[in-house]
Amino acid sequence: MKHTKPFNRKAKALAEKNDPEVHGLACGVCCASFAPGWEVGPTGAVDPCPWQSDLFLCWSTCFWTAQNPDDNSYPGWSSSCGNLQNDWANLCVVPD
Amino acid sequence: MTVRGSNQPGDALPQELYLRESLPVRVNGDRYLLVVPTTAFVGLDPVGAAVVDVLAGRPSAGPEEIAALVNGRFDRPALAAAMTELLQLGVIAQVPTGDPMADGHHDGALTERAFLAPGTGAAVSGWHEPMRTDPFESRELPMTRLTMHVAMDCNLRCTYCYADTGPYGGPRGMMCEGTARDYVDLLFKNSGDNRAVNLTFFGGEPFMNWKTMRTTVLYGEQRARELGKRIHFAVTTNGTLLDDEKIDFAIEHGVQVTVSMDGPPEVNDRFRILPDGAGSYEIVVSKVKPLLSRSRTATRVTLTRKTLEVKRIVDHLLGVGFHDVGVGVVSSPDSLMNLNPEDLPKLLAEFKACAARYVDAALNGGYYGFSNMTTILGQIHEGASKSFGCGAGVQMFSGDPYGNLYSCHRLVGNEKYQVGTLQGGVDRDKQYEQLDQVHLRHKLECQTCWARHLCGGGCFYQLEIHYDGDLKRAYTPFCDWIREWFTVGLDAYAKIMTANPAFIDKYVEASDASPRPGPAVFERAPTL
Repeated sequence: MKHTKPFNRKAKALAEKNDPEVHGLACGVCCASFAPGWEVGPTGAVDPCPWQSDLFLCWSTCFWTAQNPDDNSYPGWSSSCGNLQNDWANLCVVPD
Repeated sequence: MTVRGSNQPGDALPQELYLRESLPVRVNGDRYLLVVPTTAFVGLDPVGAAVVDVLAGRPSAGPEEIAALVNGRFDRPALAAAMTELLQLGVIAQVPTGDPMADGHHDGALTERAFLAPGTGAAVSGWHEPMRTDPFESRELPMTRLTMHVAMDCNLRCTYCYADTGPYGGPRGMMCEGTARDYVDLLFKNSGDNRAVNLTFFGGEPFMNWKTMRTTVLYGEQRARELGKRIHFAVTTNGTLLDDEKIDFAIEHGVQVTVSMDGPPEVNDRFRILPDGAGSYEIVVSKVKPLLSRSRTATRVTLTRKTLEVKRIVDHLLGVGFHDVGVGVVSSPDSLMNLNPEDLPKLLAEFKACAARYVDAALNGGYYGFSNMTTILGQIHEGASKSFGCGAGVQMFSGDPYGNLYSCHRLVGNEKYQVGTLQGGVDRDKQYEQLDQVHLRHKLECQTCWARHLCGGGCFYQLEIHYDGDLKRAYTPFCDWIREWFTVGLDAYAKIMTANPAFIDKYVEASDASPRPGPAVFERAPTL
């Protein structure tokens, strides 16, 4: 290799491998955005996120945002969901 | 996809490329990357670095766009060659074409990701790529390492001892020779295709049960010969009971001795005391000296928040004649000894001082026996991607004198971590249930950490004593420290591999400080 140098064993194993895998970017799942829908404002008060956050949260991980419980009212609501893809069904349902 | 042999951007390269989650490392002006999902460590020349930099600044780009953004600094064949190499090494990857919602895209390679642009506070750049969550492989894992608690008693009364000075909260007792032989048979029987097994004598103070230790070594050697396998022995001791007979035996039979000591007399004798309260330093050094002159011996230091002078401790113990000094942090039920978050900067500064001394020696053909550094270099050099904090309960088990098997040697006596018996063997259902719980994929805090596959997410013991045994949590108070320490390790690895790679072959690969795990101990990165 001319422009890169594999240093450790894993890199060397990859350098010798003949069929580089193709990995995809995400297709968004809405609950990938774990914003609580609240933010701490300049006075320290907790305010609802402005509507712009819908756009911000959409820009890469998801094509629309999801409503998520906030951690203060529902501590640990996502603690049983270490990995969304597998464990999404473990997410707690909280009262409206 | 054919990418090799291409020499023009766009010629046989994928249409759209993205940078995988990776940690940039800069040493002496040279560029390196740790690719987080695979733990590959890669050096970059200016052309490779230019491609990476372009992709670090945007979610994705095509080869033509990359060439345009590099802005004429490098010619197109060079850029195409660099992209080809980066693809091959898994540093960059192809953005899939077609409908992402179509069948076949939900196969585990496609997961939720977030683009981490430089300047957003992330240490890494590229696309965050959570691990695949294939079900834990439920084939029978071989047993390759058994820790045998031959003595559940001790002749010291170290105040921080997690074993409650020997009995782990249970009755004090010794393992009989017959039980020890049965453990040897169990180890060989469960070793699968592995040609070598490891047996560690542990306690308590193992040399309190010298008779069983001695006959077990002889029996293990005999069984290894009969089975055409190898067996390696190790013992962790406080050193107070060593004498000429035991030292001769250990050297003759290759028993690797690790002595527990905490440093200079005033440090060591603070916690490592005899039953009458007197310090143990003098007696240990006098008993160990004859061994040190004949064999490369390691010592293991337990740090408390009151004894954090790592550099002074390491220098002292190397001066005593130990070849390697390994340092661990106490996990004591006594919270006054445990380190607090405010102690960690001091600990890190001490570790960095030892690391600097280590690298200096390595670049000048010497060896500074700070084995924490040797261990971390071994791990980086291997590039293994860990899904567990350690091998406990995977291929490593612990047996008590009463025929009970546990996943962790520190949790002997705790029924929750009992995963079998000497008679019945490993309870595979319980083992897999426990491993599935402690698997990295459940630990929320680990999912976005660049060091997750180097660290593995913490250990059974920490989770048991700090989080009431909630195995799905990550033990977080040390996370920043761990990341900093791996950063130091990556920096040292880059320096040593660039200037004196022979050092790694000589000291790191050959080191017993970091026993190389079998292939199943640390799961390979799913995206190798």
